[in-house]
Amino acid sequence: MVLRALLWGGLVQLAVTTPGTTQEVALPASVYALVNARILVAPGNVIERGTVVFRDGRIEDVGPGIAAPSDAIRLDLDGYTVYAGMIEAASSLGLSQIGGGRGRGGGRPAAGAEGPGPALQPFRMAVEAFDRSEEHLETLRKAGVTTVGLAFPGGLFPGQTGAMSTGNGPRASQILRTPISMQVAFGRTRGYPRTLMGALAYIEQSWEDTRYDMRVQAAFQTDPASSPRPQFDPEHEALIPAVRGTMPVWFAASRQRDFTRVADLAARLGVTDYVFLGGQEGYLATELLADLGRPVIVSLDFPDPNQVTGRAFDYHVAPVAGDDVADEAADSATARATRRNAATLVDAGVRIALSSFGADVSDFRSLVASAIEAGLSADEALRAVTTTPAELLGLGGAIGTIERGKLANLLVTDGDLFDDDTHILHVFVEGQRFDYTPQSNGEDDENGPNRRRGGGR
Amino acid sequence: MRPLPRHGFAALAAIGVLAAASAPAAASVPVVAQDIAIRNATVLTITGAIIENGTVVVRDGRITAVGRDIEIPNGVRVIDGTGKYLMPGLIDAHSHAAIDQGINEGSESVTPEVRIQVRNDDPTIYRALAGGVTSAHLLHGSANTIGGQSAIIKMRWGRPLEEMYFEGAPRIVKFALGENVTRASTSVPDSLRRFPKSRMGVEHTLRWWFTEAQGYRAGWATYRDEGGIEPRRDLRLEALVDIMAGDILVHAHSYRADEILMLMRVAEDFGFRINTFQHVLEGYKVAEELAVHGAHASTFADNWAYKVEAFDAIPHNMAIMASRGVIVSVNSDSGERIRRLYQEAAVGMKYGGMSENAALRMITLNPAIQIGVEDQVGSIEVGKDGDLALFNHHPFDPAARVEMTIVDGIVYFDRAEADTMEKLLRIRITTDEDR
Repeated sequence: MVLRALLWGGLVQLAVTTPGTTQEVALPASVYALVNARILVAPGNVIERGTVVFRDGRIEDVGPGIAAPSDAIRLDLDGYTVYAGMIEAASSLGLSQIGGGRGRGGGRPAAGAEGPGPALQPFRMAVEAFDRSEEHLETLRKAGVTTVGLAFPGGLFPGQTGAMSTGNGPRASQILRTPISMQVAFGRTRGYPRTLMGALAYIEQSWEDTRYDMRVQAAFQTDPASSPRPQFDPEHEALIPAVRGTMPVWFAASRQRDFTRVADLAARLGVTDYVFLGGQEGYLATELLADLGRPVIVSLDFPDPNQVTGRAFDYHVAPVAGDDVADEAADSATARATRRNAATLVDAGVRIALSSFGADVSDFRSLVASAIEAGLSADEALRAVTTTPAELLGLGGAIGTIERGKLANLLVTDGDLFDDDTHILHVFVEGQRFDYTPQSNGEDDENGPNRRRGGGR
Repeated sequence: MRPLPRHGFAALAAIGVLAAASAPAAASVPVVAQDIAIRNATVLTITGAIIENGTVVVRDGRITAVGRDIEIPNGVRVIDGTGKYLMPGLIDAHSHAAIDQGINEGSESVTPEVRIQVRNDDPTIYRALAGGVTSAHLLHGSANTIGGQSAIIKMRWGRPLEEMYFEGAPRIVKFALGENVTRASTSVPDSLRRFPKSRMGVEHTLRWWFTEAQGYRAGWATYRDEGGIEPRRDLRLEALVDIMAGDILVHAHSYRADEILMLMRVAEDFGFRINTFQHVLEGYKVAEELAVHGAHASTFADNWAYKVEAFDAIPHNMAIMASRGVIVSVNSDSGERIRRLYQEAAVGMKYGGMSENAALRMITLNPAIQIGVEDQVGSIEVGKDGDLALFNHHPFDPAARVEMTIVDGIVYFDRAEADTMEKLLRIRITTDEDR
């Protein structure tokens, strides 16, 4: 309490209140020195007592025994821990669910007048579609997320992912990378395709159509006189980098059978650089996933036990046999297995990033905590919310660890990041400072009713 | 490792994932293949004589010995078949069970590019096993003149998706005629209205699309001969070309004699043949024409008048078609009848006087022929897959039930261990009494 007061005191002159929020936002200070802190430099790399210096949004120095520059705002963080800001690889916050809409005629080139429905818009950019309201940004920051990967929920070709910093400022200044990947999901349209099998055929045909458009365009470039007039279909144009293999594809895959299906589809398309997005039943397909060697963005939107592959049978006989067949014990065993998903995948050698995709991002820390509780090591958890998502977003050199030259995306906590009792007190997004009190975190004090689990680990 | 199905999962071949991956938490998940022998049973071989007190040995998933005086090798699990009947695992030539997220791509009437997706944890798979079924042909629905490509599966309950497919099975496409197609064109929201809405429209649709496919085929031939820009690959037309080439077998949903004749004419005009007419309730009227065309027939045991175009259905249909040389199977087309195909087959003896073996063939070897897997399954012969059904009585006995169902030598259903309805009800009654 004393320390917090000191921190606040040091800031009084800089603090302003952003209209419409309860939160205090500091004006961007150019230089900070966080001294006497425990520093989680990278997963498995801890400095027990050291200093982080950042200037103009970049980390200038980190280590024990580093002197704070004279022009720095100095925060004494004795007893506090500094983490790299979390990276949520695939958040759909601020991106509305993409419904069916009109499909197209027969997987053929656009018939003309009717444009594609919302499910079929591979040209759409998530960073543009993202509702970048203060409320959304604040939700992300409060959750400890300093970089957000934006991925559309639903759709078939819903669009392209991108990454943004969660700080304040014009949209353009917050975008870190776009586009990052082409999203492919298996939603339906109200026209063709209306089924999963139709979606699969549509995707494959779109790849073929794009290849053909590329051939004709190339021929027209080199020899227009003897070439057919090229067509420029926005859907196919958007797919070109993915078809060429210069842009990775993020395939929606949650259920056990989805992984098999996607692996087969990827092979048919000739796509080798891809990521599974969802992965909730990955623990039922570890051998396949380990063999494929593709990363999985594991959603912490844990499935309902009675929806998990194989459990349908129990629920099928329950009306006859009585509830005891699909009993609580079996449900909780399934629930445990789904929470152990991340740990099981890591044990199998699968590279994972953890994500709130499908769930509420404000619960991100507690969702990660349940994965840890189910067996994921703290280091692996940290890796899955920092370095691995940084790499999957193509930003491995810029974010994810506390290293010289990287963006000053930092969290200051009063304990283990994934402990229920721990509060995030400061979030720095590219050096922009955001302060939180336990109250503003929506948490009660440590003896309050929301205290679910004990002690540190 | 098993060989892979022709149509699926080529990608997975190279990386050896077909070994047991984590199975879903379903009931009765077998873990390992084992060598197994059923001794002292009445063996209904289908292709040979019935063997009283016979023994069948399965090793490494295949039948290695069949006969009366077979020495059972050491280390083989022995199942006593005394008083029981052993027959080949039943094959359902027409099912829509275990299909994932969509049976009909009904947005358009011609969609041979789509391929049926399998849901490996559909409880119907287990129910089918309890009825002795070891393989099934999962077809696209009948909404489309030319529907999608089938999935042919083995009932490997509890196994991951990639292990469900019947290795080496051919590609099959569903055609449909009559009411279902025209209804799917008209009794739908405006956004899904489509051509054709009449039987004559169905014929036109077929002829129009195969003419398109001929043009597509010619375009590729020209490109191969003369070069230029490689044509656009059109998966739909490519599938139609494969149909004309006989590389994709046609199974056609049909009822009336006139439309059956129409389809055979259309196929012959475009140089291919209909492999199997499905349902074909008026097949008895055109049995000789079917035989001349070379078409097989997969029908219902009865289903008289369940819809307008079924008004002329007769239970003698199976026997009449078979007597004219048509290879006939009886199918379920239902998650309920799939449990008791053996009763459906028995109808052929009652109505039309089929021999016992001819009736048994309708649920074993004949459907195997129709779906192109007769070299692997459909009879109890050395070298064939160890797919077997053990009955407590003769399968045509009204009290018959399946005791054990074996796929590739693996016991996937064992009544002694299964949570049968009977046992579950008993538990419930007991529990209720305790209350």
